[in-house]
Amino acid sequence: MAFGDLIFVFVFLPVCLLLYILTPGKFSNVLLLIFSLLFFAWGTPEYLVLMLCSLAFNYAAGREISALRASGRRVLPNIVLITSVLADLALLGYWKYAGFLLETVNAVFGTSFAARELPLPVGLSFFTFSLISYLADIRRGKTEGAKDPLTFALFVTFFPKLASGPIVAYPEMEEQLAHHPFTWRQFGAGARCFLVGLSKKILLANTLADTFYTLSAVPPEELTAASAWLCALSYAFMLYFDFSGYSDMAVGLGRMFGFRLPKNFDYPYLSSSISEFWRRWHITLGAWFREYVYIPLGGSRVHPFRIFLNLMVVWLLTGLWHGAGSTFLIWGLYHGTLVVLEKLVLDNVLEKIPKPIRIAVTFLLVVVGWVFFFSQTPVEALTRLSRMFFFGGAADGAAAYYAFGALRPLLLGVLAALPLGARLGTELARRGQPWTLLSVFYFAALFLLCVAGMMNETYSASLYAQF
Amino acid sequence: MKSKLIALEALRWLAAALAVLFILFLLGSTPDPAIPFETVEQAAVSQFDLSDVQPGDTAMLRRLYGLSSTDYEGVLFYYPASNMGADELLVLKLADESQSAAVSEAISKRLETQRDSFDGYGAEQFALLTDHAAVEIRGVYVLFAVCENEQAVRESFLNAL
Repeated sequence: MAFGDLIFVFVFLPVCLLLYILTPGKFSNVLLLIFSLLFFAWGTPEYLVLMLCSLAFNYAAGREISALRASGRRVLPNIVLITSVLADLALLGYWKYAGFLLETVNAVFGTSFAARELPLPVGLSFFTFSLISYLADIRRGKTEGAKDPLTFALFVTFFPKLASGPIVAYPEMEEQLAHHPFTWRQFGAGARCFLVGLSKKILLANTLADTFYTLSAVPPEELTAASAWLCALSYAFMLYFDFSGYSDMAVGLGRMFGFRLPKNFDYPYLSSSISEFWRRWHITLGAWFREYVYIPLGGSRVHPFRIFLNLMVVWLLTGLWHGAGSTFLIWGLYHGTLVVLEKLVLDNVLEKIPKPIRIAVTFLLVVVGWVFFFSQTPVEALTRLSRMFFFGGAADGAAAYYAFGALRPLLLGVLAALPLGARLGTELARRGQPWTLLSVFYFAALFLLCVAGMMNETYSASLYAQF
Repeated sequence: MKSKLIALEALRWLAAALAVLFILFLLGSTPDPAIPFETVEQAAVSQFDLSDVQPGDTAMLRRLYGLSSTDYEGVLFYYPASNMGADELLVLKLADESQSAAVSEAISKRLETQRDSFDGYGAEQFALLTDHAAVEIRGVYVLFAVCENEQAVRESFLNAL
């Protein structure tokens, strides 16, 4: 089940909300946990067993680390932490990387091992990172962890953030888990946020997907520069609206239930450097790697060569987090190299370049990166890039045809990637009553358009859910 | 304190052991992904009457299912030859099993859309879609067949795995 599915919008969410409003506060966490487990088990109910095992394992580990730490032990909490994190990573590794590892072994040694892969549990990458941060935060004394197993289970499985994040650390949610009253004001704000996200997903991402999937099916060597660019740009905006739409929906859903989840995007395509891009794109993943990998490795307070190494480790892992494949690895290292260059070499030079040029160059570099991200193999990515940079024809009739079809969603995409809508909304809210009424009609119209789009679409899962 | 720690450690090991056993159980019930796609598609087609369907291309798969054929290792797709037809055959070999949830949902939605189209309008087609639709997802192999003899198609598909 995805947030953009009719069954979610018209059955799951209203039923959950209605029961949530009717349920006394002390039982609200139990209710949310039941619905979260239902959401998790929707497509693959057999994995409920696995989730319950993981919850029991990590709850026990958290309590153990907390108790050992309180008793002044130094080594044992580390042992429990390391073995637990390794177990969590083993689970993630099995599902995401076993096939890739066997393929690599087969390619190197000429063997023919076949991986028996299983469907990916919903949100595995996201909740594994939540679990690791939970245990690490207890070890570092940032929290004592959840004493109540149900509270812990809700922290891990809370359905708005389960499938595609945002990745939230336990200390950020600790107080909210104890107290998250329903208010109509919060509900209204959450519903607006959810609708903005739904519109991004259904009206923009899904429309751009038609162009992207049609063009990506054309063999790369047959692409002209125009169609190769159109394909890459469609993907860049489709991915942004897909994932930021899902994140907005997650934040909106959280608010409906009285939770404040962190935002995951901040107009990333307006970034004037790659480092800034990563402070604006998938913010909570970047923060996670900074907090639990980069800083423990020494961060920026070490020798420049160590900074270089630390950054490359972080970016290698970022690439791997997105998927087990050479293209993801290259994509991660590509961004790592750019960040290192900015940090260690170009820091002073960049400041002297006018901001609009920096934004344009950053966007271009990001789009080049996306070509590796969506290509199946490095050779395919290089072929696409060679076509983009005119090692083929400039344009053909097919490119003009697709460009005509994609023009409207792409232009809308460019406008929606700017903070114009948010500024307009704030301005309308500031002006008071008649404008508030206008905004109600605006959101109602958006909702109707989304419903029409959802009825046409067969499946609306987030692209990031597969990571 | 000591007994509490022992209990927590026991719970941790018990949960880990259960998870491993559960994964082994799941693996035991999954077919070998090395079976060639041609074998599986031939098995399904051999029992399917192709006279009322036409082959679908990438754009049609995207339009009807929201799926991109380049995401899969193997695709065999036939859709109704006329607007009044409901027979359909889709056989996929997934690139990996992480795709199965999305594919399963896409198939459910396609079936639902088709049923809605014929509900109160084409009784025969509605009955076909309700009583003669076969959906099987075994490992990386997926079958969706709507036809009178869907049981034979299903059995042939499963026998090939």
